[in-house]
Amino acid sequence: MTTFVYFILPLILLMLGLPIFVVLLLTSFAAIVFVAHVPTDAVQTYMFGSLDNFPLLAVPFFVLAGEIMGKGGIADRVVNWVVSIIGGVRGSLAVTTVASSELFGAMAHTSVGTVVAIGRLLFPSLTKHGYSERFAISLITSSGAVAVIIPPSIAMILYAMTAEVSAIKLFTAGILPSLLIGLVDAVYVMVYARIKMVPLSAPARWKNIWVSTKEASWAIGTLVVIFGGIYGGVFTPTEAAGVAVVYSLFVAMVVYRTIGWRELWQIIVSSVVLIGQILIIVTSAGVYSWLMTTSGIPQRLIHGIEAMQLPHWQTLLFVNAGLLLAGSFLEPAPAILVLTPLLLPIVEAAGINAIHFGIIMAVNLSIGLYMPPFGLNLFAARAIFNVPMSVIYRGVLPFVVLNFLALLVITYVPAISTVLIGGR
Amino acid sequence: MTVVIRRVANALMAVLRVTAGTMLMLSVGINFANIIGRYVFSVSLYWAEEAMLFLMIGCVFLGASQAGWLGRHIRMDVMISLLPPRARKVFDVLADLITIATCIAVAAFAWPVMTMFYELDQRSETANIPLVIPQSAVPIGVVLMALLIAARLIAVGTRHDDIVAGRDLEH
Repeated sequence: MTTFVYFILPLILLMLGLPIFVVLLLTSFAAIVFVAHVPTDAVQTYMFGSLDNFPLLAVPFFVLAGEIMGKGGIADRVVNWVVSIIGGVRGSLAVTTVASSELFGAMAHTSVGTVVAIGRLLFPSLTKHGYSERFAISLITSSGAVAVIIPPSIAMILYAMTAEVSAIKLFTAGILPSLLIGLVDAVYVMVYARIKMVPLSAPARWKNIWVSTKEASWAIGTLVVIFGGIYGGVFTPTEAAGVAVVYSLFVAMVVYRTIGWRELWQIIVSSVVLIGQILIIVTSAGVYSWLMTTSGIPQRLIHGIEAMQLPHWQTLLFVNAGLLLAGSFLEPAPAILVLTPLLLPIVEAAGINAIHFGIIMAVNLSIGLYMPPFGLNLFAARAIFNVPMSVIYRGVLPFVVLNFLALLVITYVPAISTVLIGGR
Repeated sequence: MTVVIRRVANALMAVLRVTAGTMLMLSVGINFANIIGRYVFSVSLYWAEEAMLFLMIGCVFLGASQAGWLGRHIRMDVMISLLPPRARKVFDVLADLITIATCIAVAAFAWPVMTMFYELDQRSETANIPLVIPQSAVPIGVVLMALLIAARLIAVGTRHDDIVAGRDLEH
């Protein structure tokens, strides 16, 4: 019954074409009535509680800032500037997308926020420069998930707290694995661009760089405000997102004069709907995640693994598979809070240290975010780009496979995670 | 009849757009004022974080209710898109009806919680806002969503995954 309610029922409801938030809520209702037997008050409590989370406020701000940057010509100028610098290399814009996602991820903390910001910023340019819509969307959707791994992510802070390890050590350990994932994605997109013969942009010339820099200076200021504000310790990411709204409004309305009051109102109206579309799923996922974590399913999974008495490498493989599955259903934060105390003793018995496991877990959960059919980023991309899910599913598969291979390397070569923290 | 329903729904959408848009911009304004206050005047708005969160929650549920009218809630359409148009329409109507029922259930489950917050006069920690106000964003949002989806079904029909149709509905 439990398996049916938590896994099979949502699958059936999804196939029927119900909105995702309805699928999660109906599954939760069924779990409340038939499995968990908890008061129905929990629905209100967890729907409200999942949004009552300050870092999440960065999402609506980034949605709005992204809309303003996209429609106000800011994104175009920034992209032209980057292309003028690293142009001439086939695939340079796609590599820029990967690099920008790593930067935005570090800044935004939220994977959905990163997909929204990068999607708004780079999607039009990617399609304009010869990449297929499917490839561009998939690239943005999968690259955005790196927010879970890039320090200082909320997921890592939660893991450090639960596993009782040093957060700073964990951040340091995450540097090389996140660069490895960025490198794997970058190599893939460059090979893709070569095979598909994506048109070359103009080769880098000092004159072009100067012209585009001058043209984009105010637009580049947006990035300076965001990154400088956060890494300079001036703003929290949420505050930086809000400041990015004000700054991009100033640039678009006063400096570039690309949007007027009428366009601004349209931007606000469309942003509100987009915010509602994305965050209502987060509220419903809050109820589902809570019921799932209190159902005892994760514990039973782990007992099963323990009972099999497998060699260490196989145990790790099973743990990875379980984490990937969990990551495609649960958001990183609840998954970490529930699974860490249960999985850590098992993997420590298999000779994996707690910091290394934190990285393995973060990479798994980041892949889960864009793993078909349930990854949250997939649905965010669906809302932003308004394309059928089937297009996104097909597009993200190469990224899932490549990042899974990177995950195996990170799992079985502990030095990648531990070398910067002195092998401990 | 359908004309009246459509007109009422459009009026409601206009109110929702203004309310949710104002909430979003107010939240941006509070955020900016808080930063200026802290760095320029060394004064922090102690209520800012809660106020921004509550405004966001309101904006989310009012935005989600608008998505109901526009038929733009995110769903997995892989299987449905393979069906012939008539069968697809049946599933679209079914999805809308189930969504309406779900929204009503959420509102019904929320009712005792709202009553409790109201009777106990529970307030937020820093801004001292009666918690029944931000908490009620959930039931109000879902009830409005149910009404708007019902209005769309009667006055316009099923409009899923079609941004152009969504725009058409706005006018």
